[in-house]
Amino acid sequence: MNGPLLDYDRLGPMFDRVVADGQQRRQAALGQVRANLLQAQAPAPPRRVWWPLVAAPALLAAALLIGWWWLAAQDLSYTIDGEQQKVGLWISADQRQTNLEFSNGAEVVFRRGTKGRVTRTTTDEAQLLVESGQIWIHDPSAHDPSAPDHSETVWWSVTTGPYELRGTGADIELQWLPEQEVLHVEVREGRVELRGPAFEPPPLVQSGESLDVRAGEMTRRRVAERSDGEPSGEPMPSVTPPDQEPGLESAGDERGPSHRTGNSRRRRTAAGGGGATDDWRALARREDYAASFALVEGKLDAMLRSANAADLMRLADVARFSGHPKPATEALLAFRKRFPRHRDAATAAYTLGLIRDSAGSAAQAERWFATAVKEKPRGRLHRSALGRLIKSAQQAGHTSRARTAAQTYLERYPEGPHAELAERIGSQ
Amino acid sequence: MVSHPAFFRDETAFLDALKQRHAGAVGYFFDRYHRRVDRTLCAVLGPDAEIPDLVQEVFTRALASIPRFRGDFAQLEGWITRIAVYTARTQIRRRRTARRWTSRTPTDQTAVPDPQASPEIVDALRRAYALIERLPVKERIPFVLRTMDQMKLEEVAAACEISLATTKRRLQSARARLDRHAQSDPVLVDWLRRGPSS
Repeated sequence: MNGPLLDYDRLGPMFDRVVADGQQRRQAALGQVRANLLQAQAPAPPRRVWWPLVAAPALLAAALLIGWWWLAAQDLSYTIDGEQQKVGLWISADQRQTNLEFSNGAEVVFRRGTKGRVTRTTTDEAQLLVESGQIWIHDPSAHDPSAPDHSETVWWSVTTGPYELRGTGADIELQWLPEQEVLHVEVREGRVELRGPAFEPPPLVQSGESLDVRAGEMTRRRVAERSDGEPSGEPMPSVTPPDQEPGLESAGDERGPSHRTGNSRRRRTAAGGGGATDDWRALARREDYAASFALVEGKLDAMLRSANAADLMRLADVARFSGHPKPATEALLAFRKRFPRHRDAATAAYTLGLIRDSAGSAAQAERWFATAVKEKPRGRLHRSALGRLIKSAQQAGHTSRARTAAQTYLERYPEGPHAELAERIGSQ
Repeated sequence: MVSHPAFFRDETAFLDALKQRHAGAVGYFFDRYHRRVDRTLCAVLGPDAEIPDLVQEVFTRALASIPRFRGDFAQLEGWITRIAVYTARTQIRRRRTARRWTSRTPTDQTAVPDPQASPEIVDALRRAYALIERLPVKERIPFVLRTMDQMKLEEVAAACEISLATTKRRLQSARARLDRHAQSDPVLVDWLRRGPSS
């Protein structure tokens, strides 16, 4: 006979049963251990002197009042369709997706069919509850984790089902299907920690990763980048009909689902596809850009003057993808003029660069891409704009500018989609 | 529970905060690793009523040593596991010293069986630990980490701060020793008997 007489591997599962159960019973004792540890770290109380007892209450009250006022004035707030909303408001995106625009420039999109609410905000944290459905967090204030200055970063906490997700990030998607008990988390840029039953330690999901939890099984995947640099993970289980699923951006575009583009999607026409409505936004969401533009064509001047930021960007998309670059340009210029400090101002500059590039105006495209690079010094938009800047500068005959941009690109994004072009130009 | 960010702006900031005994960082450190520590202690010592006190001892040691910790965030788990093993080893020595002065037997330390687990399993585990108690400490610890805690060989080696070759040697020696001792406990043998070898 070879090896030991007894199969000691049988001990492990027995141990699991007994110890796992025991851990639950020890939780109260372990909670006390935690409290003891924190108590031991607390600083010693100060010695008493008599006079602060007299002055302290008044000073404290004043400080609290000022502090409350200051904090209350600084907590994150959000709007829906340009209207300020209260924390705690129930949001049910039954008919269409709902965009929550936060005061720090972030956007949280409740995809169609999603239900939930913003439960709390502070100066640097927003907490959400997602009862069911899918949300997308787009937060341009989130910095590249490798950058030294994180002072503006907002923390996002999302409670959904038995799970809690906490982290920071520019591009995070989460979906919870309560009937199937399926959770999907995709982080295209950022980092989150996921807490939940049987997660020990809590898994981290970082840029370029997704995590699926189904029947207690966790599967982690890389979100593979397409050759144009846009991420494309596995398709997520959808709460909306596939032909209305927002989906991912396509080649060269850095914008989120409010401003969807896509060669493949562009080819889908609406001829009878979704049913006609008099809501140009709904047609735009269904990517029936021709029909959508037809509804607004007679109102362009008024819209350029009075539409809100989201509508102006939507109008630019509608015009561009229905083959009307001039109104698209006007919408984007109006956007930059009326909302110069909006988080999408750089995106508008980038899109103007795309339009000029398509029109063969390399020099003008170069100027707009350079503006986008300057206004968005990090993140995916920066990478795309810098890549296109190299190309348009070269096409415009501005060789030294192209070389400078190429050098910067290779330093920052050695594996980026324009790295090959940058190397070629850098070596000329 | 004190509300705090799940982790700080990055892992380096978290480690810095932990070294400065930031309450949020200490709380998070405990939340993240206490189950690991609890499990390691239970594996080495067996289910024991003193485990929560020993968990506290592990974390107290860790927090005292954290200013000298030079690793990165990913190495924290392995580091605290080593502290747990060290604490468990110390506890084994304390028990043996206590036994010289009292009439307590190893099974006196085992916790009250959990009513959820089947009595047969609890009994089999208790018998196994009674045999494991007879192993030399340097064989016992790698053995329980491998069989009870189901660590990989490399993890066992790291937790015990020995080489992989030494780990394998000690495991083999522990199994051979237990095979001999087990003959005195037919109930345990019945639980652990292999199928017929081909």
